[in-house]
Amino acid sequence: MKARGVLLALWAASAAVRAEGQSPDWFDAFRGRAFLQGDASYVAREKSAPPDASPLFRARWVVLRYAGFAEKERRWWPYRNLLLVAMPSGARYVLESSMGFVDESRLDEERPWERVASARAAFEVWTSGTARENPAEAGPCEGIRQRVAAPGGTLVFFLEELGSRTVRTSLEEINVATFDEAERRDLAVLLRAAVEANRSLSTEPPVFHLRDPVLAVNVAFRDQVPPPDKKTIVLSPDPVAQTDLSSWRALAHLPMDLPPFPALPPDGGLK
Amino acid sequence: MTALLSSFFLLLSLSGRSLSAEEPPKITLERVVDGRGNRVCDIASASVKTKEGRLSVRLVRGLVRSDLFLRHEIRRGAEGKEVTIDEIRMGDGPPMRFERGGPGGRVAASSPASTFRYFEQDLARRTVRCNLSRLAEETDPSLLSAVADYLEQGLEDDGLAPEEQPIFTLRAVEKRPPPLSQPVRKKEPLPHDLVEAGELKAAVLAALGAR
Repeated sequence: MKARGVLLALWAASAAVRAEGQSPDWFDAFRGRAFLQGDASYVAREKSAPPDASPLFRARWVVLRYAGFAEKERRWWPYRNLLLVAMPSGARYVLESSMGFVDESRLDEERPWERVASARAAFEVWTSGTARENPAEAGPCEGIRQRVAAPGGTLVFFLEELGSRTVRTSLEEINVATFDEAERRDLAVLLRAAVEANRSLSTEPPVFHLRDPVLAVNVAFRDQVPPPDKKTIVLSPDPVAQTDLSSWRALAHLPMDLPPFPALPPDGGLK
Repeated sequence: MTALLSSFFLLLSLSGRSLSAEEPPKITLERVVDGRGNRVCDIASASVKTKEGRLSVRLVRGLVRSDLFLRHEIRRGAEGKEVTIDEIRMGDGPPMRFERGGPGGRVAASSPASTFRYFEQDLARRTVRCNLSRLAEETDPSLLSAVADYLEQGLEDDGLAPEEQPIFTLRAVEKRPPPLSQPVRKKEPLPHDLVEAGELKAAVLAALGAR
């Protein structure tokens, strides 16, 4: 009872901070007990490299689910789709595509979407708003929009304009001011990863794709994304896959305890 | 008139900036009236050539509750490149500022709180419109509605005066349907012997030199 009181006080304090206009904390959107729904390890090499060539990086793909709603809505619980990347130099990165708790009465509030984190800094993309039936009649900031929040700057933009010169140039400036040269070099390597569009955890909704966390780095480094024929890095199952996630706990904000996510009944059972 | 010009040059020299006029300012005072001759607003335009470039100000009085100031300045920036600075402000409030470094370069739009940089070719995009809308709101919540009023009253200069640039930039923010019929507006010289003409002239000269 006492613990619940403390939690409620923390929740109220968090809401008060947000009300004062400060940026919300990414991890505030993921509450409740966490479960591990998927875990796979990969090794990345050039397509043309021999199988025993040194890897360009190792990656671990994990999907976490958070008990944000009632058990009967377990299929739609908040999720974090994470790619944990370790470079040969020892540098580590967390790419993330996530959906946190959504209050349907407050859809204009920002929600976590994509994130790229190094040990030093994080480049976050938040999303807010709802789709407009007639965008031509919408106000200038209405509709689904994104906001970059990073130590190197902020930018509100519309995803369909990601390719525009204004958005690309601003993202590049934010990147340069957020990540150091070595980090940018590492993250640029990830842009060359060719990830099959259909590589997913399951075929039933919600479908978690490996390409989704990779999208985070493609948004952050939009101006450096190579054409498809230059994406020459392939991910293959890592024969020395690890099961322990503790070394990633701090950088990826992983909970201490991660029991397996109970299997879902076939689609149509739980709604 | 001589006394007024003397005070103007004194104001420039006291302004703390390297702005130094090379010639007396050119001033135009106009009254905008509707089809029945009723006053809609008064407009004062002033421009001056300086050692650094050219500076012009337009002051619209009576359109909205506060005076609307439009300011346009061309000067040499770092590395000798020509820089254009446009400002729009309401009364004594802070300006929203647009700085252009030349053709093809980015525009830096600033409110007192933040800056957003964009390419002119992207002005019609929602990303740019949304960010300009935010900057306008940060500068003065009534700024966009003053721009809309300016356009609805058909106050644009026939040849697009350079100081009207912020009006045409901010026009892109809110897409409004064109008015069903353009109001009848006529500009006529404002007689200099009217009390309000003297006040208007003093205000536009202050705006020209005090910033």
